[in-house]
Amino acid sequence: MQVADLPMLPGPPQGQLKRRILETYLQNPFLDDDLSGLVLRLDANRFELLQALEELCQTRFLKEAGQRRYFLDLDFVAAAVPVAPVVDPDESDHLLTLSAEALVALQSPVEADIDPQELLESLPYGTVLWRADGSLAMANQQAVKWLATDAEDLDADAFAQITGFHPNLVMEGEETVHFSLKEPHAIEVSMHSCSVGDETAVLVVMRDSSLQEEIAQVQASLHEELFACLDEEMVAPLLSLEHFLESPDSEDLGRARAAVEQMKGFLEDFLLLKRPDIDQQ
Amino acid sequence: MVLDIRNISPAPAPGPTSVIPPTDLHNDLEALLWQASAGAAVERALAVKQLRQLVPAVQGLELLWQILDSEDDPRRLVAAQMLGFHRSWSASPSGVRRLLQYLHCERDTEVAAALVWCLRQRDEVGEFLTHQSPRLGREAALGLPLNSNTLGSLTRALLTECPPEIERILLDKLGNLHPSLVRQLVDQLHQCDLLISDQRLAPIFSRLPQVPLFEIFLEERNTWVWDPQQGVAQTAAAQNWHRLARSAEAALRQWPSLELLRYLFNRCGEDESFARHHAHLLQATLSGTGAEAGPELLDHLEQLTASASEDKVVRLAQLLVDLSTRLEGPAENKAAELLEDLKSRSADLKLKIYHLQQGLA
Repeated sequence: MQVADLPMLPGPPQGQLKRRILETYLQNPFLDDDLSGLVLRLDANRFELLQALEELCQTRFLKEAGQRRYFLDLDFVAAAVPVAPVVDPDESDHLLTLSAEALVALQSPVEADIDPQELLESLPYGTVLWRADGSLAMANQQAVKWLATDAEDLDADAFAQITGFHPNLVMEGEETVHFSLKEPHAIEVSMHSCSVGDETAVLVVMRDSSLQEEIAQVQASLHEELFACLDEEMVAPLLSLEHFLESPDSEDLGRARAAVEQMKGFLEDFLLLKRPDIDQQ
Repeated sequence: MVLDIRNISPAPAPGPTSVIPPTDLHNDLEALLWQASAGAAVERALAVKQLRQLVPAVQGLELLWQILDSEDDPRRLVAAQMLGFHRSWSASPSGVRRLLQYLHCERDTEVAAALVWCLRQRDEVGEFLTHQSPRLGREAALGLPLNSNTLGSLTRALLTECPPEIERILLDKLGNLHPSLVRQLVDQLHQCDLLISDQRLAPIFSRLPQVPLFEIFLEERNTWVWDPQQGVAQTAAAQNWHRLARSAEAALRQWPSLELLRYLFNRCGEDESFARHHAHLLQATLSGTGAEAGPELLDHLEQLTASASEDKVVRLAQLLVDLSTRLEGPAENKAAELLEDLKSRSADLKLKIYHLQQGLA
């Protein structure tokens, strides 16, 4: 088994080192080196290697056994390896198709006779992949629709103009960037750096958040209504009460009582006051 | 009536392995080996996972040896790797002999490298350090345990023209050599028939634990004293020794370790003649001390001077003055504070330390 067999490769930081680690483990899947052994084997900086190993363990490429020994996580490798035959890695366009295939493969097992592109289009997610130079490698229709642009124009700069976030952010060190947009469509966006063959690329996954946005707006209007009512129903009676308490006068007593009754009624309406009928139940 | 329980043994617990007859197990292992070596990628991964979990019994090991026996079996690499993972065979000398036998006859480099990997952390791996195939040499270097049995092969490999990758691994390993083995390594270098260049010695000495190196070459100066009556062989040996000593001293001066500096500070504090004898070396090592080691040495000096005699304090103050000139920032301030603290102990100390600071001592 080789690293090329894996459809998903570990990305930055230290993507090269992670790939070298995986390569070593795939050459001998029985390898059980500890950290010191791997430092020697890979001629790597101890700290960087430890960091890379921890990330590979987190992403389940490797797993740690006792005494800081590391093994290849073969369950994950088996799950990640595509069932369909691997496309010739020399053809860059095919490589990009393979990456999309891998994306789908990670979410659900792909049968060999299903077109991955069709499957990708049917997903309820918008997916865009840019190469390191900012040119578009792949985008599904959902993404194009949500970004309200044409697929031909959707390079990294255009995305930055639409969203205010340039994909280079994740190329320059940030591993993942999440943000949400209200315009042109309510979406949540995640930008990840990833590897396509030997190239570094940026993968953007978008999720429809219009329902959440609608709920948030309803909540906001409810809050607004509540505060408006509070102002009307509570503030004026409280001021009357305050006035009465400062200078108790028998003339104002009736007004104060009425104010308390008004506040009580308002709170009962909003179910904020314990009601006797609920207590009895 | 008494129940005779002498011949009653507990019934074997039903488990997955006990249910399957041995022949099926044999077939299963064979099938898994086929899958792991010639199956599709997914099958291969799952088969290897099972092969890692299954511990082969004697029959299973025999099957692995048989696969290694046949020259064109595609499962040979997986069989060798599995032998390396489950190493119950290595408990018996016959098992190790058998593996060595296969290894000496093996033509496939991949399989041979896997077989060398099987010998990791065993003394026998040392003989493959200088193997003509760099792949085997590298695997041997990675698996080499450092002990008195393997030092010979390590020294030989380092002194011959081994590939840079193997040299790197061996030199890195030397950094973890137990101090008690340094003398043996030095003896082997000394007795080596090859003419060792200084370029080859420098990286070796720069990695070795420095305190034993200092003791051997700089403290025990009575070794190989020149004798006008000595013969040619003795002269050559003495020359070789002096060359080693020169190279070791250069390494100590150039790359002094914190451990060596602490040792020198301790000894200088305790022994005035030692301090006088090694004053030049101390100055040289202090000049090679990096800024990051300064604060640690400062803490060490603080501990040494606490409740020390005046003589000892003066000797250590000299070191402190030397060290403080190489410190910066908070460490420099701390050194100055420590010197002031030492000065405040007595009028005599104050004067002596003042002279040290002025360079008058």
